[in-house]
Amino acid sequence: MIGTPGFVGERLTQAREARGLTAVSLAELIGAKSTSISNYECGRQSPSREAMERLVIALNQPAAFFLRPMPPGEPADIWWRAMSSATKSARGRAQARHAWLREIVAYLSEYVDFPAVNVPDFTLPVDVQQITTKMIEDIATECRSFWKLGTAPIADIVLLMENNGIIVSRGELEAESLDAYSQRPNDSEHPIVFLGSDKASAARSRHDASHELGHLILHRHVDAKNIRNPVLFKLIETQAHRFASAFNLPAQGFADQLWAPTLDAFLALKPHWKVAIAAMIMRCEQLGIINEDQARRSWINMSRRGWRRQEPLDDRLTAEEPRLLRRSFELLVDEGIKTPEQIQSDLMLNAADIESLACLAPGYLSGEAPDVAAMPQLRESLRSGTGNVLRFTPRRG
Amino acid sequence: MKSDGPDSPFPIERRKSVAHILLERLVGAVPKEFITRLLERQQTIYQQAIAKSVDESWTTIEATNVLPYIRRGFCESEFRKAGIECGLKTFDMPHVGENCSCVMIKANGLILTEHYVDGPGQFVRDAESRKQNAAVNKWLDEFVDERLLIHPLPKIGRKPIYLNVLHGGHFANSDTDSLTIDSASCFLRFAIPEEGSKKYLYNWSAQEVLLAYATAADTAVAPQAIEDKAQPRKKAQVLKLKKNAAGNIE
Repeated sequence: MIGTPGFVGERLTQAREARGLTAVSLAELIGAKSTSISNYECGRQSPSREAMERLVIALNQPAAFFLRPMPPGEPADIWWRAMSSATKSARGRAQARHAWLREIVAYLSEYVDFPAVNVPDFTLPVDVQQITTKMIEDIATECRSFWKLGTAPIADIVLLMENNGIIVSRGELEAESLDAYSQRPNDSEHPIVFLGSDKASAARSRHDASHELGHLILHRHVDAKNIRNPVLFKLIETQAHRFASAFNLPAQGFADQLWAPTLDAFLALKPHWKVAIAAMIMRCEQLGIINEDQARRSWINMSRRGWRRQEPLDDRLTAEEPRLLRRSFELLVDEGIKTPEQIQSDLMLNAADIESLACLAPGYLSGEAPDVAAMPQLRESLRSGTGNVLRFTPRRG
Repeated sequence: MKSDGPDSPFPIERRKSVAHILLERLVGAVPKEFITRLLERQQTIYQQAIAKSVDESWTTIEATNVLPYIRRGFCESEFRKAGIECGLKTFDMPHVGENCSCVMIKANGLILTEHYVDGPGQFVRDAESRKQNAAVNKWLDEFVDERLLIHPLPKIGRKPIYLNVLHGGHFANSDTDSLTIDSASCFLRFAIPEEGSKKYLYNWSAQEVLLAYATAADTAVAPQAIEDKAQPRKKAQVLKLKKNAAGNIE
């Protein structure tokens, strides 16, 4: 049987994982044996023309994608806000899509200059166990000073990061246990942060952004081996959370504004600081405004009010949207450097994947209208009649 | 932010309703310290009242019975002290039945009395004196139903307004004899009763009122605007290539 010359097995693994499929489920989808999928992926065998066509449909990627060599020098996987409970499938999906995001960034870097990386570099111990809470608090304060933020709430954390050369993307991670991740491949490349939009909470997303910023600053020189050690990984996460708390709610500015550590007060301050009530309770405990017992009661009261499931105002605060990647593509198209078709052809990726990773409007590259759910309509028999008009009687004077 | 004048605590953008004007009036008439003092002392006062109610010579039942009366004494006294400390006029007003009196505070045409209630939205127990006080709010009725439709906004000036300062809190644990007030359950609110004293026209939490002070005065904590500099720039060689391509076509 004639295979597909130039087929790259790793691309198949990437596409399969990005779609959240196991080898067995993909095999079922294309009507093949799971061993065939394994053989394709490890390069022992390449798919026939028919199998290739079915893979293209099942994985929703152009055929060229499977022929594209993997980029050289893939850095060691540096994963941060992947909670310990994240499933292998969720991580695999995120990792595959992150690889595409990096390819998009590399592609854009050929044509545009992103804002220069302007993230402060602090001399910190390489051993994460030697990073103290005081160090984190001081660094968060110094970061605010470095970016001239004072002690006020930050209007847009994502914009702050993008202004300073951090590439930010936002989208669904389709996993309850994954919130966000970040990577700083090396000093010459722009750091990348991906924020999950699954939780639909602007306040939480801001915390995620600051959390990732904390990793980029605090753990820049930390050995990647530490991430695979569960104890150290937990410590690393705690440190990033502390940084996010201190960065979003500076001790001075927040304590000055907080008149009473009650749920009502937290709620009143939420639209101003754009920080979750839960984060404010934790911050109050960190700052010694409330003790452990008061914090425990606050959590109980939050549960009683149903705020642990969904906090008030989460449906009203708008999430901060990244703009740098979107603007870069718009620049290429508007300036006539590339057409949307050329971009798709160059990147050899499904247009919808590029659009979602670069936060472009759906259909920007493909020209296809986004899928819209059909709204229920009145039956024809009900629509045919004319409506009744109620006549208002004039008020007597 | 642009404001309506040096004395206005609200930016024009936020002046959307009569509620804002009334809140502005409250913020302008009552010092912030009056509210923060009440908030800071609230739980302690309740706790003192509980301690005073409990006595060796009677059981928890008697203690529970006398608690509202003792608490009222502590609260009225605290209300008066807070008013005096903040430079407000305080009066001891006898009730219509002359069975007791209550502390009344006046501040720039605002009349305030304090009331312990079970919940933040609960109405104060019916009393002839309160009905008479609430009668001063009659002029407010015309604004309430169409508060969002009024444009331009009415001039409220120095017309009198009667406010109920509502407060309360629950025991931390109802299953035991532990008589500790849960600080998280404590509330303090500023409510304007309607003329007939049957419902509240407005009922703001102390936190909402304090946020109005913060908005008004504390410009240092206004959100730090971030200038949009997230702009990609074309690389120099791309520009050059584009020019060359254009030249070839010509």
